[in-house]
Amino acid sequence: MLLDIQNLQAQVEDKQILKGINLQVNPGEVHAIMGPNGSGKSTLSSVLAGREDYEVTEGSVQFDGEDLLEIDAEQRAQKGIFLAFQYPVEIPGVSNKLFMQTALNAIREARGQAALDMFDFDQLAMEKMKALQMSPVMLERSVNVGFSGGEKKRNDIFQMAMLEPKLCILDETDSGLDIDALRIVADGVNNLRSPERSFIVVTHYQRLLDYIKPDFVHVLYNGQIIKSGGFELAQELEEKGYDHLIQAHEEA
Amino acid sequence: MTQSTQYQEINDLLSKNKHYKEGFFTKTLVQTFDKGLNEDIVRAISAKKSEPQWMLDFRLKAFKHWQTMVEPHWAKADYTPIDYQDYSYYSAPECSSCNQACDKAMDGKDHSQPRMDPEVAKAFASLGVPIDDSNSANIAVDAIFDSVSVSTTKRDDLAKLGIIFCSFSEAVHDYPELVQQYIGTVVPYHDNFFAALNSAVASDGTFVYIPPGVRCPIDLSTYFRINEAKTGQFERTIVIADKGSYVSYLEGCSAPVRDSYQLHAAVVEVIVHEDAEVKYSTVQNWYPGDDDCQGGILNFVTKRGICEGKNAKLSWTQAETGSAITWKYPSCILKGDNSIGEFYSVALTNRRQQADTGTKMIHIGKNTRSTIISKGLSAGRSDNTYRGLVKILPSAEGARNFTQCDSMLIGDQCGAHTFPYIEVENPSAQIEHEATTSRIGEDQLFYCQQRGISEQDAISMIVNGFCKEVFKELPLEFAQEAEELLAISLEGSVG
Amino acid sequence: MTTLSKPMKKLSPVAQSAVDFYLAQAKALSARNDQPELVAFRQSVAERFAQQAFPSRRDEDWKYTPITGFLQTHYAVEGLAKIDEAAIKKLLPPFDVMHLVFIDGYFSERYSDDLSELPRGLSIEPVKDALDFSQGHCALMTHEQKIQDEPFGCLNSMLFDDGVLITLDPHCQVERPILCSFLQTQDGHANTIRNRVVLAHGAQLTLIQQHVSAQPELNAFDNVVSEIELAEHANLQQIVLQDLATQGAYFGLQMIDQAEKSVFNSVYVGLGAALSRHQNVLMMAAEHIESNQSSACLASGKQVMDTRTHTEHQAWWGVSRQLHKLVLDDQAVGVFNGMIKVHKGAQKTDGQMDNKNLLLSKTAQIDSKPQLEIYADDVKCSHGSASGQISEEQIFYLRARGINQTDARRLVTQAFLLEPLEAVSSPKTQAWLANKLTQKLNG
Repeated sequence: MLLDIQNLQAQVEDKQILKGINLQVNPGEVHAIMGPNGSGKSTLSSVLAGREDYEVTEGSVQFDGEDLLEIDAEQRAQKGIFLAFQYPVEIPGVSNKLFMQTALNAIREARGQAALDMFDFDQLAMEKMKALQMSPVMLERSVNVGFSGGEKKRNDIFQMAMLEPKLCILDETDSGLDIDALRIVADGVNNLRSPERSFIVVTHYQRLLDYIKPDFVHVLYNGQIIKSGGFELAQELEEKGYDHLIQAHEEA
Repeated sequence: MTQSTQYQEINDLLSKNKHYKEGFFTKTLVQTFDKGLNEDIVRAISAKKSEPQWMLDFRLKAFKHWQTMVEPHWAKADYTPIDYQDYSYYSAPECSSCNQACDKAMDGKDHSQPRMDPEVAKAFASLGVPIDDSNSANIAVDAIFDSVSVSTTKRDDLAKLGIIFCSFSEAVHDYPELVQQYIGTVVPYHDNFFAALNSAVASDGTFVYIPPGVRCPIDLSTYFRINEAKTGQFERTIVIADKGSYVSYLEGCSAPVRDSYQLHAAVVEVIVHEDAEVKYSTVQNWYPGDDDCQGGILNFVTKRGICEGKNAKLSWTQAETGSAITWKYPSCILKGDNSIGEFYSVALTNRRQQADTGTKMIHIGKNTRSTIISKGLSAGRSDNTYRGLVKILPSAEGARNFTQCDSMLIGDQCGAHTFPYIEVENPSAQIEHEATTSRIGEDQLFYCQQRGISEQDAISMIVNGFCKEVFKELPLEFAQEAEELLAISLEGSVG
Repeated sequence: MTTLSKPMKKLSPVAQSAVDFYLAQAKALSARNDQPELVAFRQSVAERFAQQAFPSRRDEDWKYTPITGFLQTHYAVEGLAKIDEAAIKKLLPPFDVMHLVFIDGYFSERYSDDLSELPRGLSIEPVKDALDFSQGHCALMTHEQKIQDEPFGCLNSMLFDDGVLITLDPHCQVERPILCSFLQTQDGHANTIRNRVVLAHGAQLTLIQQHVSAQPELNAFDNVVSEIELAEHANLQQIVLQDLATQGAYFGLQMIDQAEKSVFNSVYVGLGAALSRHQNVLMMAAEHIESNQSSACLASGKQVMDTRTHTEHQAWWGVSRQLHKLVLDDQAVGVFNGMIKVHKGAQKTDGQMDNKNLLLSKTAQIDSKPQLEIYADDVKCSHGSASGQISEEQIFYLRARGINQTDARRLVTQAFLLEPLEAVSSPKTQAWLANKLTQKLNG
């Protein structure tokens, strides 16, 4: 098992947001986490990636047999967790190239691999950018500064392709994307799918799931997973909406 | 994570390199004047250097004027008034082998300089300053130890091109006409309190003259080292670029760890003639003092250049990381038509450091242009101030200025200030001034960490990104040094 | 803020004679007043004024504002006006206002609207009537020390005799704007005015102050200090129109205190006076405060126009916006000085200050000093200053669309100058102000 979440509870500024999450992800699986606004979807992504605003109060998370909650954000990244941000952050003055090279070499070092030199890095970056239909100029520009919403998301997927993580968490990557950008992002993700690599796709809408077919769909509501199923669950949500499901859950 | 814990962590991360690495002290035999300042001391300095009468007259005139002046305290820096009688105004290493002061200017003619104190040589070697003439570095160095220049390299190669690169004391002996022609023309002895003091007690410094049409093939550099305690350093530097010439001049500075303030009051005059260009770069890493900045250097510097002729260009680039107090405004007088002035500055303050720095761009000639890029980084309990003047005189038809002042605050105990003065007396001038304030965001740090980059690397990457526009103006090795200095100086960012 | 070089400084004979003159004026004023506490107060200010005197260009805050010309005329305080009915009529804007008229510095009951029929919660009183020292210090004056630190504030404290006191009770929202017209009718007269505006919790008001001269050739001196206090959730829209004859002088100092979640929106329009200086000192002392300070100044001839702000963010989540535009023609001198100070702990401050200047002639001049002083890290502060002449590209664009050169220049200048008025929420008021500016521009 790659990821094992047991009874995970977390709060931010004394407000309980996650109220006991259980989730198991095996290598190669794609899990979709769906839910209405405020259900705790983004909190779950952030807690897994190690954002320090969130305090875990209960439960455990094992990643690749290790206790994930014990280690810092950068160590989690080095072990293979990648978070595609809902709002990718701007870093003025730091070029995409320097940023990615620093990140890639930090991760390679953690994996016991030699650092890539400028030439190897450029070659690798060019390949990956081409696949995502990104212009090479993007490498020279400051990280996400002046990027459109679509460019930012694409840039995150490019980073994902470069860093070759074991577990990719896509936090509402579809938000703010038009249909063409969505397709490019989804293609990028699909190209990265492999028997070793798992995905957690966090989304409000089914739209993205039409392109990235999940193996499992979980519905998050009020800090808990209230229903799990296959792709058909996503379709059911699309037709009937969350209310129907929530009502059934609350009556039960 | 709360802000204070975040900064505590930044603090811890940055504390890894806890020492001012240039803080060692060289033990050598020195000749140091007794503390105190009076007319006799001024005469004694001049006598020590066997100066001609005109130089002594210049000193005495300045000293008389200085006595009528009051120490300025308008800068945004608090310091107790300096006791000028508590400093020594001359200190020079003696050579243990020959038991004679190393002051080269003594005979004024000896250019072979075989007599450097090995301890002094060792000091410069450990600072990474190539003072051995056999070095292959693409740079010529004038090394100044306390009050005197102890070595000037590559001068013979340069002499073949007609370039004069020597200590100021030598220039007074060997090129009196040139020195007399230019000294005090850009910074008059009565210009300000510290310039007057410098004019009276100038210890040594560097003299550079580039003849017409010559492009100086290597960088010229001066390295200043204050070693003795309670010794003031008052170097006087003159750089002259004659018509159509070019030179890139660099200076670096450091001082040992001391427990009392040390005084540094330099004057730099740059004269750029028609079609000539001077690039003047400084990496200032004077000892900032202990955690409360006790014992740090008080750095009061007057740097000014004039673009005398048409199409002249003067570019100041500075990375200021050291000193307890920095008071420094490298300026350009743009007199020649189409002349260009530039000021690129990174000033970093930490602990209780106080920096009040900026520039003056005085536009006189037609179509003169100036650019000011200032990046201030404040951390710890420091105060970092940009103070600048852009003045467009009625004659400066078509003048342009662009100013960008950015401040970054690291921690919530420091201050960042911007005090620009803009005076426009010609309507055809175009003046643009922008200033912003930012900090390293928690979200930026998390984003970097999520990509596997450690917090420390992320901070240094973001800080260097912030300063990039300035660093790209520095010569390559200097830029690297500046980047490293930033990382070191950010240690203990938050108290 | 001003801290003058210490007392007993050397004054020029012209400055000394002006100081002596105004001290004598204060004495004369006291001789006509029977409140012993007021006389004592005036005496203590006079002592300070004698020490502090007038600033010179050596004083940092007066480096760019020459007052030597002003000092040569001695403006007397005594005497009351011959009233010109026609001039009063002309004061009214083409929209409904509550009108208060001050003639040569004194409230005129006769020409003002009836104060006995005010909306509930609103009270208006002439300062002359409200001045009451019987309880010790006069409750009117809360910023006295800071006012006296400013040289013309000190002069104001020494010479003021009237003004307006406006108070709004909690939640009182006054729909009709209050217009205070300060009319000069006498040559060589000093009109010293002290106002105080207090809005209680949730109160709302639009206040328009205009300074005008009855004749175009009048040389008089308006010196006004306004204290403004906004309680929680209060909202004040303020407009100051300085449309005096071009001979005289105008000094306006406003001390503004804002409490939590209050809104202060102030627009200054400067047109007249040979020498004018309008200054806001704004304290944003509590959380979630909003402020907007703008100015539009049009100077020609030898006018000197100075507009300046000092804004202190002292608590979290303050938002301040500023846009100051000066258009300078002939030999006019424009001065802008702005300071945003963010105190330690005033996190999430969002402060923005813009100054833009247009020079229309070869001999016009602008001195600008936009400053930031910041002691908190999680803040967004910026300032910008740009000076230049009309963009030839813009002119060409208009000409290419068939507009002649003169009209094109006027249009572009007008568009430049009117931008700060966008902060005025009422379209009618905005149009009225725009009309004043355009008239001068075209005249």
